[in-house]
Amino acid sequence: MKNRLKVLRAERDWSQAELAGRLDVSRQAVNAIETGKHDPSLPLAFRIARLFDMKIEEIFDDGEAA
Amino acid sequence: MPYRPRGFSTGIFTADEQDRSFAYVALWAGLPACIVLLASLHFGKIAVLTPVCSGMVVGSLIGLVLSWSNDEFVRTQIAFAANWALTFAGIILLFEVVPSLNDRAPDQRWTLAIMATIFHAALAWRRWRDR
Repeated sequence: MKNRLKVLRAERDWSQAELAGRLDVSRQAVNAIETGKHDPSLPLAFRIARLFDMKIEEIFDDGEAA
Repeated sequence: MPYRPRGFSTGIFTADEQDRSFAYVALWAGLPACIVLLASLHFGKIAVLTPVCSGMVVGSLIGLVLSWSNDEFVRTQIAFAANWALTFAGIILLFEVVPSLNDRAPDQRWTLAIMATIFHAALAWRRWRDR
């Protein structure tokens, strides 16, 4: 699943470790989400959305047209 | 780095990013430790290496219960590896329950060591795939 996590993180000048700390996950998990190797669970997706003050759909794109 | 009192004395059990990353990295030691363990079973005890590696393998498996330091991403990888290890366990169980196959069932130590190796090998493969 495509996502804008890396871009959003870069805009705030956060490292992967820093973002991981804010989301209560490991740095490896952040890297996997950014590279599309892992899709976050719903609770984690909500935490990500709240952290960036955006909707989940504005961060993640499953590629299916509405 | 300031001292951060944690653990039973303070009642603070929450893992931070460093703990999770360390737990992730530490599990990499499981596969080489398993290989040394298998070698020890075949060739005999290897000085200090055998007990150390045996302890690492045992600790890596028992430590999985301590999921407080593993996030969902790591748990997904562990579940994948555990599935393969359990499949092997099922095959061994087949050898044990089918009378005609009883004689071919491997020794318990070998069975458990191979099962641990399969777990760590599957975990390493999954991590390599997810890199």
